[in-house]
Amino acid sequence: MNQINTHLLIVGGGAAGLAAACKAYEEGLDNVLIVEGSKELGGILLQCIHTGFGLEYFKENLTGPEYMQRFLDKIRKYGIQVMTQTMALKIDSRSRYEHIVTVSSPEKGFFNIDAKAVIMTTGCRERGRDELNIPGDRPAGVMTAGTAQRYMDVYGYLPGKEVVVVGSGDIGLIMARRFSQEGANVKGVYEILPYACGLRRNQSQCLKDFGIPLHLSSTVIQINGKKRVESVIVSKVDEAFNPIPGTEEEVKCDVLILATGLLPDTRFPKLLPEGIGLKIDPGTGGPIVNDLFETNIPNIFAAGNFLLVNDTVDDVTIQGEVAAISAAKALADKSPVDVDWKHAIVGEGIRFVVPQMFSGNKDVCFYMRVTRPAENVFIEVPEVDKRFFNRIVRPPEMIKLVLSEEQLSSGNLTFKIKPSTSFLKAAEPIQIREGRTYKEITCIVCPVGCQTMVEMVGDQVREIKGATCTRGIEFIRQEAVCPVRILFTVVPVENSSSVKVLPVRSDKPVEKNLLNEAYRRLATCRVKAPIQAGDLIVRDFPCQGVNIVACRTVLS
Amino acid sequence: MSVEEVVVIGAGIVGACVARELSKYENLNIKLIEKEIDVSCGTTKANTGIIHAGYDDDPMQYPVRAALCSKGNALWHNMVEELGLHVNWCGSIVGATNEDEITVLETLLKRGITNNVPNLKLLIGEEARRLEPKLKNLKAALYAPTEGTILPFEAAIAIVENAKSNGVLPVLETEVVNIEQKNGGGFLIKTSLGDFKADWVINAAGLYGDEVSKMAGILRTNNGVSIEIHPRRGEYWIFPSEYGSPVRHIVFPTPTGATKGILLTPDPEGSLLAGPNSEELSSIDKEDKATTRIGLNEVYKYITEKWGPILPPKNKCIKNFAGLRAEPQHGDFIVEGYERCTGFINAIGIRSPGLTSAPMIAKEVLNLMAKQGFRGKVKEKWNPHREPIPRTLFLPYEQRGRLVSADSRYAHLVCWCEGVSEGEIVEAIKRGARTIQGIGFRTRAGLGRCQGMSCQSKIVEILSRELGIPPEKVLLKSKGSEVLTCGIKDLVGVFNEPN
Ligand SMILES: Cc1cc2nc3c(=O)[nH]c(=O)nc-3n(C[C@H](O)[C@H](O)[C@H](O)COP(=O)(O)OP(=O)(O)OC[C@H]3O[C@@H](n4cnc5c(N)ncnc54)[C@H](O)[C@@H]3O)c2cc1C
Ligand SMILES: Cc1cc2nc3c(=O)[nH]c(=O)nc-3n(C[C@H](O)[C@H](O)[C@H](O)COP(=O)(O)OP(=O)(O)OC[C@H]3O[C@@H](n4cnc5c(N)ncnc54)[C@H](O)[C@@H]3O)c2cc1C
Ligand code: SF4
Repeated sequence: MNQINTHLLIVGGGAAGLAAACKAYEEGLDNVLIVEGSKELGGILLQCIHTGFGLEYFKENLTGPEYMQRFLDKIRKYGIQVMTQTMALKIDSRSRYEHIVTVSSPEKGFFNIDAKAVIMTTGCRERGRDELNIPGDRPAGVMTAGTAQRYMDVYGYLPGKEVVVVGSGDIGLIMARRFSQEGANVKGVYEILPYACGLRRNQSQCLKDFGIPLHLSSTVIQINGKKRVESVIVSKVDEAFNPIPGTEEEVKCDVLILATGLLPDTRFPKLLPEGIGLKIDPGTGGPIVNDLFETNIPNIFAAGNFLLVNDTVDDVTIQGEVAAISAAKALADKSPVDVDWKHAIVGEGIRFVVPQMFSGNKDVCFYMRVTRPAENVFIEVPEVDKRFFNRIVRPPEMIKLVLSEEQLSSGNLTFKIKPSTSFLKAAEPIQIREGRTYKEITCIVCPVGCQTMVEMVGDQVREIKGATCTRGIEFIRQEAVCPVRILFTVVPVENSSSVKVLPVRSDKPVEKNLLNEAYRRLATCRVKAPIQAGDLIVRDFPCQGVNIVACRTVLS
Repeated sequence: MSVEEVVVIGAGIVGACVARELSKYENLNIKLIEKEIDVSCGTTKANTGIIHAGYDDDPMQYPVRAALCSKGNALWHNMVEELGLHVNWCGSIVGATNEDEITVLETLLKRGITNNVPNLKLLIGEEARRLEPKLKNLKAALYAPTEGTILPFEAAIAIVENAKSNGVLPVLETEVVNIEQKNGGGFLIKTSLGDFKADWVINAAGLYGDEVSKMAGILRTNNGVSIEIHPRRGEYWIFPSEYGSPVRHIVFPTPTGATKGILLTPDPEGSLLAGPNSEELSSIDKEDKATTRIGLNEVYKYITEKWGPILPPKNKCIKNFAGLRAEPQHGDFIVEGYERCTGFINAIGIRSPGLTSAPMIAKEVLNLMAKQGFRGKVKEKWNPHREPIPRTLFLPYEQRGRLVSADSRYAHLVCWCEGVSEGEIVEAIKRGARTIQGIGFRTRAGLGRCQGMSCQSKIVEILSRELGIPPEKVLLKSKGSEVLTCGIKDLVGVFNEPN
């Protein structure tokens, strides 16, 4: 079999892979290769056309494609080698510095890549209908949120007009909004847990903005329709998540969107029976790593959603960079690493901690999730007598905890939840006075998500009640006086065989009440490649001084 | 010698086998008429896939089943080779957990010997548990080494491909709506696509066999039993191979009632099937293949109570599905011709073990035709073989290289779970796949761990390109099962203000 050589091979060209490649180059590695199974680099970012990316890393509010484009531009500038439509099939690790990766591509057929180090960034996959055991007919129109998103924002087709969404995580909320923006009727979002899982920001901007009802402690228990989905039966559930008889209700729809969670995509090693022998953490579903993000196979690193399912791309990017720095070090200094790894122990109330092992020779950022929501708690590390207060913790929100070299040097550490006795002041009950006008506004500035009542005098704010801190005031005031949003959507591309739709956005926030009309008017807009990211698509739209611009580059 | 026209109604496993058997003869013009868009869309696509040994069918009560099943088993051993099918000749056990059940096993053993089932063995105690170490409460087992599993949809598709290469013409998306007997012999088959003349009509219409029989004026069997087919549903769990099967053989419980009970079946791809249960449908709906919470729970609970907690957790399930048995009034196959309607032959009421018996049913149909005067001459050159679609990823290195250099699409992997290439998908379309399901049945694309959520959009693109249809016309499995609704901007023009 043909063979090529590289120093560092990156498997998967999503956010983690792109960040790893750029960082490796910046660390001085000049023989870096990315293999990506799909036609294009970008991974999940390609189809996430909404804003909310890069708030931490770039301190800007970008769309997924814009975030991706920044890395693609660097990859091109650095001249990093990329092979797309190249799928990694198996890894045969012969020694620390010899990893034979078999890949296939229509251009080059099946061949081997001999890499001195490998970073795995193959992302995650969604949970499907059968893992949820939803009984009923098996018609067309039952799909995961990611599949629907790909059909809409990569292929340019709508998979339905009457939509039911299962799962209130960010992905479910974001897809509910996406369908609404394109004129579909979203009947409701059904969440089996007694609380919504997505960020407050998304609960408010995806559901409230579009009048989409959220049903808690509810789920879909049956799918009806022989050919295409015709309706679903929804039901309330009890504490053990069993449907409560008598609460069933039929909801007519032609598409059922499943947004019920992600799992690291360890299929790749499963593809061929021999696998590659990665040790998996049952808590994350991804590989067990040390603080270099190195797996149990020396010089095979892992990052991004393949390592653990992340909430934000910023964390994914950082993980890619950490893995790249580790790989660069390993390749520069060939002396065998002999570390006495210490373990991060999962304690009471915690589902997982990543990295699972640490050396104690450097500061480490630990990622963890709790098992259930709680208020006023400490994350406690008893061995070093450390406590970190949290006003609110919820399983959908990742907790990051940086411990110093000094704290880590002592030995194994346990991470656990401990209730706090010193309660923060709860919000005072809000008194509504007769004859005054109020607006109900959810603060989305932090995960607490205070429900506030804003007393208005004309279109001026007189008083804000119910906020437990001052950080949210500016946002709440703006929401009360004149709520604004970034406009984003896709526009069909007329002349490209590879890119069907172009993601676009407004370069400034737009008054919320202008948006519906704007989406309707944009429906007839068409563009022609070539297009550069940032190109002006429509000037002064939907109002003076705001422009619609392209979020990514499309070559002709 | 003049050419005789034959119409076979229904492209399930029975119709497929009949068409293939007929294709061995000279001077026949054979049409295989099927109402669905693809072959194997009826009962044949959703069953356990077992090639039974044949000890189960009581020759006194079910003489036709008993006569055909074990012979069918022997024919399959040969056919899987000829047709290049996936098969797992794992053997089966009927497990007993107490003394009473051992008595039943003895009866089954005797019956098996009457039915000419080879190599049956009754194993007691340790000997039985050695076969299935995880079944701790096994007291005895009737071991049938000739039993195995196939992928029934793959089999029907392969048989039709082979029949086609021997001159059979499949006519899909064509529903038989009436059968007229012509004066002076012969039939006029009225279909949704127009009329077909026929000298011979073989009814292999599965669940609709009674309705087709009625069209020909046959309401009762030669023994006077009313011809009525009732749907009886069976539901399943499939667990993927990555969790490892807890059993190595097909494991039946000792039978109690009408069915063989709820079983465990390792399929040819290494997945584990648990099921089916047996639900008499009160409705006359012959398409009600919905799974139910009650039915699925019954299956899971039954296995767990019978054999202990050996199933993977429910949320590791790769797929739930249900199949409908075509249950005749008296429980036996109806394979017969009629003096009052020469040339019309029923092959219906083919409930379990119909998959196993199908090749033998086909031979029986030829016998019945011979009794009515068919004097066909066997072709000198008849091709028993069919090349399977190559599974690129699993080919030896040299062979793979040749394939890829001839068509580079064989190195473009589309389905990542099962490792299926674009080349295989395009070849499946060339061979007749029209739907996403049709591609899955021929290549396994989309049947793996993620059930198509990563590759379905790519398959839609390929189907659209190869069939020359817009993506929103691509079907999941049947007419009306479009995956997409319209272009992304087609609705927003008529946007409603949110309330
Ligand atoms: C709907 C949705 C909304 C989101 N919203 C936000 C948000 O608002 N803000 C935010 O910060 N984050 C958001 N995220 C999260 C963030 O975008 C993702 O976590 C991040 O982009 C994941 O990057 P990744 O590189 O780990 O994985 P991916 O992007 O999935 O990349 C993996 C890549 O590996 C390739 N691959 C897989 N297997 C192989 C193989 N064997 N060989 C070769 N290539 C392979 C895949 O094709 C893919 O391109 C969202 C995610 C989703 C799904
Ligand atoms: C749950 C279950 C488990 C089973 N397990 C096994 C097993 O393990 N082993 C075994 O040997 N057997 C098994 N069986 C039995 C086996 O599946 C059936 O006997 C076999 O598939 C029947 O095939 P068929 O060709 O008669 O019917 P079908 O596959 O239903 O084919 C009939 C075809 O006729 C077509 N048709 C109907 N009406 C018309 C019309 N008017 N015009 C044109 N076309 C028409 C239909 O569309 C259909 O494609 C099982 C059955 C079930 C339901
Ligand atoms: S008001 Fe303060 S505490 Fe409350 S949600 Fe806003 S930022 Fe968080």
